[in-house]
Amino acid sequence: MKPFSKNHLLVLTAIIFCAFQGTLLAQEKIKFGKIDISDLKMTRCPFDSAADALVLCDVGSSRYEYSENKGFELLFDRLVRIKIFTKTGYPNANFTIEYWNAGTDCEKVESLKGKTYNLESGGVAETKLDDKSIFDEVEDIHTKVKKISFPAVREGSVVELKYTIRSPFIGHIRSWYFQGELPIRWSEYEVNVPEYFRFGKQSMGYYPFEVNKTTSHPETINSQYFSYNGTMGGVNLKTKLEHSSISYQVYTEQYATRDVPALKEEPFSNTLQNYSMRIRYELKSYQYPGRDPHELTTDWRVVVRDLEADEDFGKQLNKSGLVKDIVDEINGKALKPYYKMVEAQNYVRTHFKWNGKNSLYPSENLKKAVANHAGNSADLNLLLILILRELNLNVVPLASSTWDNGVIFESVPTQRGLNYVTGLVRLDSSEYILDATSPYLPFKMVPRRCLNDKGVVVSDGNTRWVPLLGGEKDNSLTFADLKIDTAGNLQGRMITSESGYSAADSRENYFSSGEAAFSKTLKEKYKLWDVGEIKYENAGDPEKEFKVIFDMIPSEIGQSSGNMIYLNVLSGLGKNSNPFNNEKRIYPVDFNCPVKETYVFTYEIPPGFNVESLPESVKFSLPDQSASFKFVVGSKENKIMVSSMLTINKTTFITSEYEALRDFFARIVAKHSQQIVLKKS
Amino acid sequence: MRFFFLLIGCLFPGLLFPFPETRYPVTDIPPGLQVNADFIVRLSETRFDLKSLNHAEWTEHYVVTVFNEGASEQAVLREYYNNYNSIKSIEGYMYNAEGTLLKEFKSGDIIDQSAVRDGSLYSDDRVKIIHPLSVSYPFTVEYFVEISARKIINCPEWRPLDDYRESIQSSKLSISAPEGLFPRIHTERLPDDVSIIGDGITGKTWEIRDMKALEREPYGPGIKQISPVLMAAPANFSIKGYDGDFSTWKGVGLWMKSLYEGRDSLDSRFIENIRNDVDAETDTLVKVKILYRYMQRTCRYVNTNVGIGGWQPERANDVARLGYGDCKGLVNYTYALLKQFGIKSFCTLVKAGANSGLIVRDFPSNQFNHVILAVPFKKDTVWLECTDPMQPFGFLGSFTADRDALLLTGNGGVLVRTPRYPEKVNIEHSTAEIRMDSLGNASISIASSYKGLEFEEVESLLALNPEHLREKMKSLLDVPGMTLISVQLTSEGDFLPEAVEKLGITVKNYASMSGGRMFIPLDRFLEEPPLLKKNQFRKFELVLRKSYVHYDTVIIHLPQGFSPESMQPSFRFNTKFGSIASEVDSDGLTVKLCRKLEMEEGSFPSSDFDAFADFLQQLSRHDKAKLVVKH
Repeated sequence: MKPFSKNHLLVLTAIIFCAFQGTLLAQEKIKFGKIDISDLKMTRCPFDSAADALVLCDVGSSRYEYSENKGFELLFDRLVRIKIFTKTGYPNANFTIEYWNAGTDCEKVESLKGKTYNLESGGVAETKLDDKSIFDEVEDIHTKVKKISFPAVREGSVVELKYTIRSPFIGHIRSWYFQGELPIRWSEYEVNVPEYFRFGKQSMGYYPFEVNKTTSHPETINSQYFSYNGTMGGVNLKTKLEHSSISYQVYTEQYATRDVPALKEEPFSNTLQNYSMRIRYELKSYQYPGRDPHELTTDWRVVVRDLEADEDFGKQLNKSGLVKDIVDEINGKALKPYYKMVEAQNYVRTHFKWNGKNSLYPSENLKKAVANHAGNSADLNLLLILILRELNLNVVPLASSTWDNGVIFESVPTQRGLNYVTGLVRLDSSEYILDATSPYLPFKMVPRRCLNDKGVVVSDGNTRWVPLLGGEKDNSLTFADLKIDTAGNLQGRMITSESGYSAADSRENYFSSGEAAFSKTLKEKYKLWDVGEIKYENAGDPEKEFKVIFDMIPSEIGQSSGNMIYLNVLSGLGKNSNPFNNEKRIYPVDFNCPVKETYVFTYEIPPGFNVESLPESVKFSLPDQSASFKFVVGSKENKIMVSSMLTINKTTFITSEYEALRDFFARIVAKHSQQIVLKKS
Repeated sequence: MRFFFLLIGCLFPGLLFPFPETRYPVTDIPPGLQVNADFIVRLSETRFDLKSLNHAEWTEHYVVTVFNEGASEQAVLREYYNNYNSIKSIEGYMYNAEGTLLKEFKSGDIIDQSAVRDGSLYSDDRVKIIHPLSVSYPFTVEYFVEISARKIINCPEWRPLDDYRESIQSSKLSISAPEGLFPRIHTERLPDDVSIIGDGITGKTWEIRDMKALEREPYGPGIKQISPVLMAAPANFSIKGYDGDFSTWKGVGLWMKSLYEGRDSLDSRFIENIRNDVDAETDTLVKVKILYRYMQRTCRYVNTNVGIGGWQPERANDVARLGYGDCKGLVNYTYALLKQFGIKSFCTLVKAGANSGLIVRDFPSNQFNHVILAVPFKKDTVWLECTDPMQPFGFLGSFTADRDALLLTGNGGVLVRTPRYPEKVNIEHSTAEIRMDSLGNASISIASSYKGLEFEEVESLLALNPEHLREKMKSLLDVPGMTLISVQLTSEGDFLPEAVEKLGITVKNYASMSGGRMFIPLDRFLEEPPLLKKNQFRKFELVLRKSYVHYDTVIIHLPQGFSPESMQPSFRFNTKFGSIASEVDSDGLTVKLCRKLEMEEGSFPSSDFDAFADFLQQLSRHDKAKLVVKH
C-alpha cells in the first residue's frame, strides 16, 4: 500500500460558513467509566482459558463531521477496556496509538482519557491516567505514536481507554479487527458514511457476527457555498459549488462479535493476521452533488484502468528514455526475443538491489530507482517491464497480493488489497511471469512470498486472471552410498540435490552467508556425522540443481552390541518429528507450494554379517491423493537399498483434512524411525 | 553498543574534491586480511576533542568493505542522538569493488526515527540511519560524521573490533583535551599510544593495523573478551548542576548517590495497606520479604529512559502512584519502602547479563547497566532484583550473580561481590517411568526438580498459565505421537528456589518395531549439552560458564513376553570438565538406567578442547544407544 498519496486517501479541504449535524449518532451503549464490578472479580476468561488478559469490550466508530473551515473530516472513536488476569498479562496495560501525517495533513488524537480500576477492600479504586503516563513519539516521517502506560496495574485490574482520532484522510476508514492476540468478549464497529462516498468492504474470519445491520438517516448542512479540491489519480480537482443547504443520507453499518478467542500460532500457516476476524474498507467511488461520480474500485476493470492511468504505476512505463542504454546493451547481446527476455531479467536482478519491501508502487519513481540501483519490488519489476517493452516484447504488468498480505478475490474488487507487481510476457503462445527481486530463482519462477493464488493483468482496462504458481515444487533429493563396518560405523558419500523453491532457499542462504559459513551450518546439521570437505555444484546457476556433495569419514551412527548391529533405516536423517503435533487445528495448513522429498540410500553390509530384519516397504496416501508416501526397503547380496518418497501436491489443506494429514505425517515419522538389524553369521 | 568518539576539525585528506578515480578498491586489501572475513574495516578514524567539562566534539571517518549479504548490516550507519548529543553532519558514499563511486547519500537517504521501537515504553533517544543497498559484493561504504556532545557521563568505550569474521586494516582513536581535563584511560589489548602535548592541549592516539579476522568457536570467549578496548572517563564533570569526581569508586558512588537524594520520600497513604502486616512481624528478614512481595505485587517494570543520562530514578512517590518504573525507579521505591520501616538498604549498581563480562575493577567509572538492592544483615546480605514480579525472594540468578557491584552508601561507592552459585547448589533430579505396551506405545510419567541456577531452566515457564504451560511443554518435549495428559509446575523457596515439574504423557509408537524387536529410546527425556565437532586448530580457551549436577533415572516397564536383547553397558567417564556415571540394570521385567552427570565451570586451555568434545560425544553415544527388546 502506498499510504499517503493514493486516491483512496482523498483529502478534502473545503470552506463553508455554517454546518450542523442533523441527527445525533446512534447512542453509545457502553460508556466510559461505567464498569461492571463482576468484571473486576472475574479471575479467568470464560471462553479462552489460556488468556493472560481479556478485552472486555472494544467499541469503535468511524463517522464524518462537517465543519465550516475544514469541510468533511473523518472521526474515529474508540473505547477499549482490558482485564488483566496475570503478571504475564501486564504488557497489555501498555498501549500504543498510531496516527498518520502526510505533509501538512495531520491526524490528531483528541479526548484521550483512561482509568485503571482495582478491587480494594470490597470497593472499586480508580486511578486516572495522567499526562505523566502518556508519551509522544515520532516514529517515522509518516507515523506518530502515543504510548500509554496505565498506572496501578496488578493482577485483576481493568484498564480502560477512550480516544478520538480526527483525520483529514476522508477516504481512509480504519480497518477493524474483531480478533487479535487477546480474546475479545465484545467487539463492535460502527461506520457512518454520507451518501457522497461509496465504500467497498471485505470481511474475513472464522467467527459469526452477532450484530450485522445497515440503517440510514438524513443529515443536513446549511451553507453559503461549498468548495473542495482533491487529488484523484494524480489529477487535481478544484471545484466550487454554490448551495444554500444540502441534505444527504448517512448510511450506518454496525457489526459486533461476542466471545472471539485469541489468535493462535500454528505451524505451516500463513501470517496470523490473514486468519484474523476483521473488516476492511476501501473507497469505491464518490460523487458530489451535481457532479459525475468518480469510480475507484467499483469493478476490477476500474481498478485496472486506474492503475494504467496512475502516475505512479502505468505512467511510469512511458519513461523509455530511462532504459535506453540498458535496452541497447541487451539488443547487442541477444537476438531472439526469448533470449532478450532472459537477458533483461538477468540484467535487472544483477544490477538492481531489492530492498526487501513488497509494493505495488515504486518507492518514489523509476528514475530514482535507476539512480540508486536499488528499490522495492515495484521499482525493480516495473523497470523490468519497461525494459521488456522497449525490447518489443509483449509484456503487461501482473498485479497481485503476496502470501502474507492476504488473498484477493475475483468477486471483491480492491486496489488496497494489491501489494505486488510482476511482468507477464507472452511469447510464441507461452506465458512467462517474470520477477527481478531475487537473483537465486530460476527464470520464470516467482518468489515463494508471492505464491498467493492469482494475479490480475493490468492492461487495456480489461481483467484477466493468471495463476502465479507454475509447475515448480519444493524439491529435494538425498542420495547416500554408505558402507557399514563390523562396529556399526558408517562411511561413504552423500549428495543432496535440490531444485525449485528448495534450491532457491538454499542458494539464498549460501550466498548471503558465504560458502564457509554455509558449510559450517551444514556440518552442524548432520550432528552425529563426521563430515569431510563439502563440495557444491551449480551454486551460481539458478537454472540448474543445487548440489551438495560430501564424504563422511567413519561415524558411529549404528549401534553394535554382541553379534548384532542396529542401524536407523535413514541413518538418523529423514522426518524425526511430526510438524503437526497438535490434536486440533483452527486454521488451514498452507504449504505455500507443492513438496517432493526423496531419499535414496544404499548400504553395504560388512563381511560376516547377514540381514536379520528390515523395515517393511509401504505405500500410502491421503484419500484424495493430495499427498502420498512410498517407502521401499530391500536387500540383494551384500547391499541394502532404501528409498523414501514424500509428495504433497496440494498447497492448502482445510481443517477438516487436518487429522488425516497429521496421521499421514505420523506414519512417515514412524517409518523413518525404524531399524535395520544385522547379525553376525 | 559501539560508542565512538569523534573529533571535529581534522583534515580528511582523501576528501579534497574532485574525487580520485577510485577509492578503497578491494585490491588494496592485504590478502591475509580477506581470509575468513565477512567484512573489513578499511579505515576508522575516530577523534574525540574534549573542550570543557561538559562539551566535547566528536568526528568519525569510517570505511568498511562488506563481502557478503550476511554481513550487509555492517554497512549500515546508525548514529544515535538525543537532547545532549546532536549530530552536526553526516556524509556517506558507496563504492563498488573496483572503488568506483556508486552513490553519494543525500539527506533524503537518511532515515530519522525513534531509537526504541520495542522494549522500552519511551525514550528520548533517536537514531539516524543510512541503509546502503548493493546488488553485488563486495562493496564499500565511507562515512563522515560529526557530533557535538553536551553530556559526558557514561564511560565511553572504544572497541575497534566489533565481531568475529571481521578484519581491520586500520583503526585509530585520537583524544585531545585541555591540560588537566584529559580523561583517565584504561586499555586492554591495545598498543601504546602516541602522545603530542602542546599549547596547553594534550593529544593521544591509539592505532590498530592489519588485524586478521577471527572465527567464532563454541564455548569460546565473547568478542568483547578478546577485542582491544579503550575506556575513557572524565575525572570530573558536571551535568545539570550535579558535579562528579570519578577518579575513585567512592567518587562514582557519591555522584550516583546524589542523583537518588531526596527521591525516597513516600506518602504514608502508599503504605497504609501493608503497615499492619509488617508491624505484626518482629523478624526483620520477614518484614523485608513482605515488603518485597508487596512491591512485586503492585508494580511492574516499564522502561522509560529519560532524565539525567538515564541514571536518575523516578521519585518513589511517583512509582507508588503509577505502579510502574524502570530498574532504578523500582529499586529506589523498594529502598524507600524499607526505609519507612526503619530497614537500611543500599541501591547497588551492577553490570547485568549472563555473559556480559566483568567490570574493570581498577578503573573507577560508570561501567554499569542495571540496579539492584542490597539489604545488609548481620551474617549475610539479602539481594533483591526488583524488575521481575516473579523473582524468588533473595535470588539473583545468572543475570547479576557472581560479580563486582557498586554499593551506593552515604560515604560514596563501595565495591562488593554478589553471591555465587557453585555446583553443589545447581542440581536437577529427574525420574522417568516408561510403561511400554506390546505395540510400542508408551505411557510415561516424569518427575523433575530444578534447584539453584538450574531453576532458571524452567523459570520462564512458571509465569505461564496452565493452558500456555501445556502448549509450551508440548513444543519443548517435541515427541512425535505424544499426547500430554497432565502437567504441573510449581516452585518454592527463597534465596535458592526449587521448581518441581510433573508430567504425564502417552506416546504412540514410542518404540519403533521391526522384525519382532522393539527399539526403545532411553535418551528422550535426558538432558545433555549439544555435541561438538573436534577441532585440532582450536584457537581460544574453553570457557564453561556454569557448573551443575543432574541425577537422572529412567525406568522402563517392558511389555509382557519381551526381554532385553541389547542393553547399554554401565559406563563411567571422568574428565576435568565433568563426569558421567551411568548404570543399567534389568530384572527381566524392567530396565532401569541411573545416570549422574556433573559439569564443572572454569576456563581451560585451547588444547583441552578436543578432550571436551570427546567427553560430550561419549556422553551422547551412550545416551543415544537404544534398548533393544525381543519377544
